[in-house]
Amino acid sequence: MSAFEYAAPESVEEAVAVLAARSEARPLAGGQKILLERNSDLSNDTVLVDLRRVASLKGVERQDGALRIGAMTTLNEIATSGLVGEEFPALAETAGSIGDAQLRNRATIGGNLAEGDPEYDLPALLLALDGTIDVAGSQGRRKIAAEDYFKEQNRSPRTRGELIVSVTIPVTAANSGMAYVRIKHPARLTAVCAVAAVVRAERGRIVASRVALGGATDRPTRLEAVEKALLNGPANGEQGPSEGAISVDGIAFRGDVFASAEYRRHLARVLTGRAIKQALLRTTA
Amino acid sequence: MPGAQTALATDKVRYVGEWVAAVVAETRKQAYDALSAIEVEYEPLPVVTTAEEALQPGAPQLHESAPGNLCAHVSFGDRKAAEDAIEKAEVVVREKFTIPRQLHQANETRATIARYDAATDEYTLWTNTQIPHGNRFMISSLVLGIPYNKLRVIVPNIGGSYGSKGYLYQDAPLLLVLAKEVGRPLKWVDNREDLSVTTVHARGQVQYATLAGTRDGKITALSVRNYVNLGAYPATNGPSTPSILTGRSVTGAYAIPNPFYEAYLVYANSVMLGPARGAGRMEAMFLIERLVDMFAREIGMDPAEVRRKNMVRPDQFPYENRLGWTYDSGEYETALNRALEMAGYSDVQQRKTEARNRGKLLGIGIGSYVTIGGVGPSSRMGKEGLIGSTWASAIVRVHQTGDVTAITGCQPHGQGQITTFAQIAAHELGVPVDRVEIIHSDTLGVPYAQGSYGSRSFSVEGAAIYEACQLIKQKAIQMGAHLLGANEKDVVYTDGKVQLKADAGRAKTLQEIASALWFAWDVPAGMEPGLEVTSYFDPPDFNFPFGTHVAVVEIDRETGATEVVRYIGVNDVGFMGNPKVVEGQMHGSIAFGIGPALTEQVIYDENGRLLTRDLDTYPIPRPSDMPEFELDSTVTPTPLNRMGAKGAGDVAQPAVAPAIVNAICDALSEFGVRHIDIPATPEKIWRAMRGN
Repeated sequence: MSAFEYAAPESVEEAVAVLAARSEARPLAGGQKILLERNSDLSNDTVLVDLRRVASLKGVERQDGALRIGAMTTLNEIATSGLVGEEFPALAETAGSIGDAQLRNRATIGGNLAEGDPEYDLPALLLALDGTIDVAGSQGRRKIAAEDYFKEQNRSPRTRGELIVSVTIPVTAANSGMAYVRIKHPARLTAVCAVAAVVRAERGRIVASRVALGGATDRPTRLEAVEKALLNGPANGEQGPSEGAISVDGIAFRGDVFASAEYRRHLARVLTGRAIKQALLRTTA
Repeated sequence: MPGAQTALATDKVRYVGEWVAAVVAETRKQAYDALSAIEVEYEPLPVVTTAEEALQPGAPQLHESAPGNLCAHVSFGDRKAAEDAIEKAEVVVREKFTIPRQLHQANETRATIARYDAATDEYTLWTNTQIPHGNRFMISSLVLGIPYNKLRVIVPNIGGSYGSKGYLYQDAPLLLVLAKEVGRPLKWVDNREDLSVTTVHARGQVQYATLAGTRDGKITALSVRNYVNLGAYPATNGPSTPSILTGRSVTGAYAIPNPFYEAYLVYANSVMLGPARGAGRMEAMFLIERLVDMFAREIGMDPAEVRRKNMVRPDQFPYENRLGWTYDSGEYETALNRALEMAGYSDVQQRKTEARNRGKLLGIGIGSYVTIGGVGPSSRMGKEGLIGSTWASAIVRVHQTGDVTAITGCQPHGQGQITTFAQIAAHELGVPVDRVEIIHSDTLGVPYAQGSYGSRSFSVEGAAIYEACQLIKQKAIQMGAHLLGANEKDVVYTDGKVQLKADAGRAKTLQEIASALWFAWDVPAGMEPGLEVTSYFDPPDFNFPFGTHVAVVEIDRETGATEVVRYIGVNDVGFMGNPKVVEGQMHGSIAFGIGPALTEQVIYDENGRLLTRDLDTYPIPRPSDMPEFELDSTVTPTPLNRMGAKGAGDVAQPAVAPAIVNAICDALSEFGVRHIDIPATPEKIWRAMRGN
């Protein structure tokens, strides 16, 4: 069992300084993961850098055709944000249905995304929404596309000392619809399999789409073959996508005692169809 | 008992989680640091984790004292008669039912505080056990060899148990020894993850079952062979659950002429087995209720009709079920019909069509039950080979102020006995309920008592309070008559006072009588001062609550995800002292049944490591997984106690899993699905729909 140090900086710069200075420093957001880890996973050198006093990390605002959501914004704040509800209804709905109310009052968007945990719901959704994860470090600030951020399993591209400060999501074009569907694990309530879909339709045709798979693989994964197959296809929400458009070939699914890889593969196909169908129903075209 | 466990393992460790060392420290951190400093060298031994494998020749042997890993083989009923009836039957259905183990997840983990007083040589134990007196006896006389009178066991308010704390576990004697050793009080509190290996598991049966009957729906025989992994050691009363509670109960609500049951109780490398709410009877009801549905489908008859044709009829009581139980009373078909009426059983086809249009498969399932409660008649304990007794004790004392103290042998851990027992005394004595206090769960001041388990408290310990109150009233009548200068024959006890039959205006209240007996300045010749009675109640037999539950499920035909959309329960526990408390017990029982039906299961890997050690891997149902429960009750009093009350705490839990799985199999009937083992997970259902 270990003791750990605790720091509560009041600015991003201060936080970054602590994180850069100490190799065992770890940012503490809502604490829904780190505080549930076993004591033995924290060493005596661990410094928990509590971010809740950093005011600039909170809140949702419009910024150049995008929404910028502060990393410390809680899931409940996202679920009830008028701006998020208006621009990204699937994000508001998803944030409002993660875990339970107590968890949503503590868990933050930054924490949910930080490690690219495929069982968490927001990574796949951010991938489909083509968002970026904005980080600050001693070398300055940069935006990492979700695509790049989740490229490697369990390894975020943040360098030592880099802190997630916000998430930026470009407002989708008119005539777009989005949906996120998932099967929850009965114990953890995380995604056994989940699919996020964003589609844009014009004159009855699908002109663009982004579809991402969560829960079922070792990292959130874009279904590019599906996106290609959808292109120029009929934007018919009542019918949904054609069977042939849905392919999960070449994807390695994970299995566990609750759901085998084979079952997850099946769920991925079913949920892909459902997510696209629901997204199409929500397009305004 | 062959294979009994020691407080710490000495030569061999027989399951993952078995204790090998104990650390005493002043802080949590010290304790954990010391634990990580201990290095244990284990020499790997071969492992066997299932009962059937452990019985195979050449299987790893756990105990020299238990050759072939067999703790016991038990059988009830007439094997030959059952085999002959099956041989001759028009219809035979057979199935293997695998009931996985279930973890206990009471809100509060186990915990113990021990203190030793060197000046008086007295030991005090605070622990959350269901059986404080049992622990006192076993620790002092069977484990530590210290004088019984030097050990006091106190059970404070505890956060649920459900059968998980009905034993003597190693921590209690260990802490007492160590407390004396270090000369300080010691505390041990389990944590949520360790609970999965320190606290008994439940269920865990592999049943090979055969039911035989006629084409017109009459059941003629039932035969069951059951393999049960008791774990590496026998828990205090672990073996009795799969033997007696399952074995004698497998005929359920039906009059089956030729039943037979046998069970192999086997040691294997896993955590010890014990009961959980619905103990043994859930496994039995699952088996019989599934078989009845399979039989109904086989002969093309409505499963409700098959039940009606075979249920024990009201004119058959007392009914001896030929496996050792005598059912006391019941209106089984009335409860069945009421539940079906509430469920709208007759227009289920229409709802199936409506659900189909939404992409859902709707199914309806029945779970009828008769489950033993009111444990129990002490003479039966001896006959069953159980070292114990199960009578009840109560002391009722009326103070000079009119306040009433009732001391009970039950051990409330969430069942509401403080309320219901106070109601018994208040009602019988005619005093306000807030003037009654209930004392329990401390071996100092409470006479030897059995605690709470097996749905025994209200109908056995409560009955003792009822009987004690009758004796209080008898003495009050004698004293009241004396004070009124009247003859006993001319007075009556009513509304908390003794009054003249001829003149209600002349009366002495219970308080006046108790006060006069306290002063004792003027009592009738031969009467003792004070108003206090000790009463022991040993019921003539067990009682048998019953009922029928109906589940309606909807299954997503693409994913196999299942939702219980309606849940109906009609329960009969005889007289209810407090119907709201009974309703609460029913809610708890149903929730406790939905878990194993749909999600809960203990999974071991082939090396005996537990893969479901925490709440991340072991899913217990949440309120959001449950529909609103639609409950009703019928009331058929038992003749076995003067209140007419039967057990209620865990008796309805066994109806839940069969009702839900029957509903699932009904929903999947078009796929030719005959059976799905619990938990009926979405993947299993998906595979069943695909035919694998």
